[in-house]
Amino acid sequence: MLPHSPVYLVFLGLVALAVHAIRPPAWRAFFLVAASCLFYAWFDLRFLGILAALILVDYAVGRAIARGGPVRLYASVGIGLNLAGLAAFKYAGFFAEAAAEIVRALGGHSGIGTLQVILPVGISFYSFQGIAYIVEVYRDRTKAGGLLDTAFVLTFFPKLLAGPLVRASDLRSQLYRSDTTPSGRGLRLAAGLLLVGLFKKIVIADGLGSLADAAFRAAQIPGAAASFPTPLFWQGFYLYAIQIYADFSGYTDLARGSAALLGFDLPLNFRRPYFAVGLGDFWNRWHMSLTQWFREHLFNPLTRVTLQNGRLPRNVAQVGVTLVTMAAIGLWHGASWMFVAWGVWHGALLSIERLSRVSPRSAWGRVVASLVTFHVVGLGWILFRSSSMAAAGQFALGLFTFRQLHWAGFYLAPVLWAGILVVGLDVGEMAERRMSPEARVWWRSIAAIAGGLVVAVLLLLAWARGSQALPFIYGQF
Amino acid sequence: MTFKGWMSSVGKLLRHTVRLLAGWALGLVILEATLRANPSLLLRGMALPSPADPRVQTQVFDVRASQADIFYWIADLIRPIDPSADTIEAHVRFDTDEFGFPNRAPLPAVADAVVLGRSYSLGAQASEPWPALLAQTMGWQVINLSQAASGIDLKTDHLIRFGLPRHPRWVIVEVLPTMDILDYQPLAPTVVSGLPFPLLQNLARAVLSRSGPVQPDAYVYPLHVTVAGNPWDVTFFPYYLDGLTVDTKTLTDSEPWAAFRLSLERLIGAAERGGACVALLYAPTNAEIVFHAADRPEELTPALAQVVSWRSDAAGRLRHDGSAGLSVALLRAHAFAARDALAGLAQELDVEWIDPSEAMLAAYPQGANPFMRYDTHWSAVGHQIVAEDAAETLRAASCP
Repeated sequence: MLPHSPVYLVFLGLVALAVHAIRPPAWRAFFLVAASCLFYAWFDLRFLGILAALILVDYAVGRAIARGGPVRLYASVGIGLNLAGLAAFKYAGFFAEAAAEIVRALGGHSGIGTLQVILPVGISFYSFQGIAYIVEVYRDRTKAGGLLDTAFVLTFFPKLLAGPLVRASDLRSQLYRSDTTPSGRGLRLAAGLLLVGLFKKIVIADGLGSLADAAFRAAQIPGAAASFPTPLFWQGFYLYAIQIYADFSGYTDLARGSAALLGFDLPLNFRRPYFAVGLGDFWNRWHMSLTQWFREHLFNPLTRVTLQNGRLPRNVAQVGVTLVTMAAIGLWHGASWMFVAWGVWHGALLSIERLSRVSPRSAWGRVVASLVTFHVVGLGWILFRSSSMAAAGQFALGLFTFRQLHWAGFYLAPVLWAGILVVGLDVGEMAERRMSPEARVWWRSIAAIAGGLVVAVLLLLAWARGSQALPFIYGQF
Repeated sequence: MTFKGWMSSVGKLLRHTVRLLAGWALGLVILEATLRANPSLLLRGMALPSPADPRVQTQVFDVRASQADIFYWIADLIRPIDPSADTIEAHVRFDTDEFGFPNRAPLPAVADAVVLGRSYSLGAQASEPWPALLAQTMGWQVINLSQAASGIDLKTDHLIRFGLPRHPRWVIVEVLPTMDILDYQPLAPTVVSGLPFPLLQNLARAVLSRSGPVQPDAYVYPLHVTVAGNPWDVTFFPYYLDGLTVDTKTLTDSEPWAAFRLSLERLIGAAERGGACVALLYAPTNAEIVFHAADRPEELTPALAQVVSWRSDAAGRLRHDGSAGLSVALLRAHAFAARDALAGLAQELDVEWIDPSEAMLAAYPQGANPFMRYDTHWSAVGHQIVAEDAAETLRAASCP
């Protein structure tokens, strides 16, 4: 049940109707946990067992910490178990393969076969949500919840697949508000977020951004850089940057819109990231809840440890910790060296940016910095999306061979259109705040009719073609 | 209600209408630009400004007999196939190049021949369509710029944009008389305006398929027909059979023929200015071949269901005009009317003429079927025949 499928929208509508009819918070929590379990089991019933096991672990650890005793040990065990679950289902094959490579490199026979483990959707998110919960309780024991509360925080279906990661106490406190029924304004906000999310996913990410796939497939063909038109690679470069943003921020809009419809408020996860004027700025705008998670749970503790008693010079410590954190962020995305390389790319450039302390001052300087940042991030996406280092190399090389440039119009027209749509949405959102109330009503109704029409026709076409809905990119991590 | 109240209501209604129209117009603009940017979002079989297949991709799939009716744009005439009786008609590996045409990527910088065709030359349901076989036979670089449902104007456009920059020596143009001349639909001015009809058809089909099976005696296909002493299971597109209701003179005097001829001359002119020679490939359908060659004409009578005559008015316009006076004998008599007219045109325009129909007729006595049983496109045998015929013609032709 993907969040941009008609069946999800029906499911969401029914759950929203029911949840507002239930008054006692405990019953509401129970109903939402049941609905979330049904949502998750729709992917694969087996996944539900893994999720249930993690809920029990996090609940038990939370209670143990709340009772007192060796709380540091309890927290470590809890975090370890969450990480162990993630490692077993997501990284077992990767580490086994890496170990076998090392043994082979040393001239031995590894005897380690290829591990094929199913990857439960959303495990990266709910494992990290579980760790965040344990750390929160460790820091403030009063925040330990009951079994139902813990289950609710971990399973809440709008954010289950791909976040945003939230503070457990924030979400729980919303559950216990006296009135969760959204107002007319709240309903309009929810409907607007759902429509924008659907538009980003169906029209921009899947409709246009998916054209980027051709360049990445071409890059897998040996000698691709010297045989395909350069504009094909430029199309892939720009469209993938647009696709991943529209796909993930579209998911977040759907998650926030779904939550709003149920009477909950989820945090922002994106703040116009491609307008960032540096990589540090980019990470404060891109997947903000994950950045915050890593900052809080890895970067800050590591920084404290490395700087304690002047163990390492400040600059060295900062570079090392940044590289480790970004490599970990890369690895979090998937069990592949390409994701690690992507993280290291960002870590290295973030370090250079911090050490050089360059920041634009003038308006033009900000424009140039923002363009440079976008292209640096785009080069990183090549590593992120490519299946191998060789393919990434071919792709990067293909950008600069300047072959068959007469195809620029053919390949770059969709890029221009997707760019207009994605920038138009961001600029439209900013402009809307400055409109008069009457102009806002006009703009919103026109945009809603236009967006609704386009989404409906593209869904109808996909149905008539018999196409399967494409999953969210971040839903696979 | 007071006058002021009325005016206020009218004003409100007007505002709502303007918003609705503005939203609708904005939506159509976004839709048009999006569908043009990525034609693979559209439906197969629509006439589109560029190929509808994803680029640089290899698809491997089986074509099952039970899938045949996906090519029907009319109410079902094919007897539903029980899953246990389903068969694989073809195992297909389908490659696309960096533009979405049916070639392995990347395209070479120069080509010996460029093929401009519809679904037949595209290789619908064939791993080795005849252009690939021609390339093997001749040792040539052959670029296949075929696109399903592409008419003569789109072929010219593809030739100029994608073909001529590769300096081909030969330009081979597939002509399917029914769709390229009689039923020719020029490209809609906007993609969006071409959408409602196929979308409604799909919706209607979905609804009809849920409304239960049609009467058992309404099923026509597969039809058992004896050709060259052997029994064959055959499925016809009724609109291909419509094409057999026209004689050579009616066709060549008609307005569609004149329009086709003009467009063809434009294509030939473009090819010649690009330094290429042109060959016309007649694309026989199973309708022409089987109606011409059936041993027992009476076996074909059920196929007349849903066939409609083409009739010419005083101005030479061809119109569908009911089924009165239709007979198997009439369709047999006109089976090759369009082919003969095209052969004459090729001679008149001084271009090479490739006609695989005789070779296809000759395949039946040998127990080989040039067409698929349900799908109706050329089978592997059919593509082999076309490739051999094309190779033979082009070898013998003089092209500087």
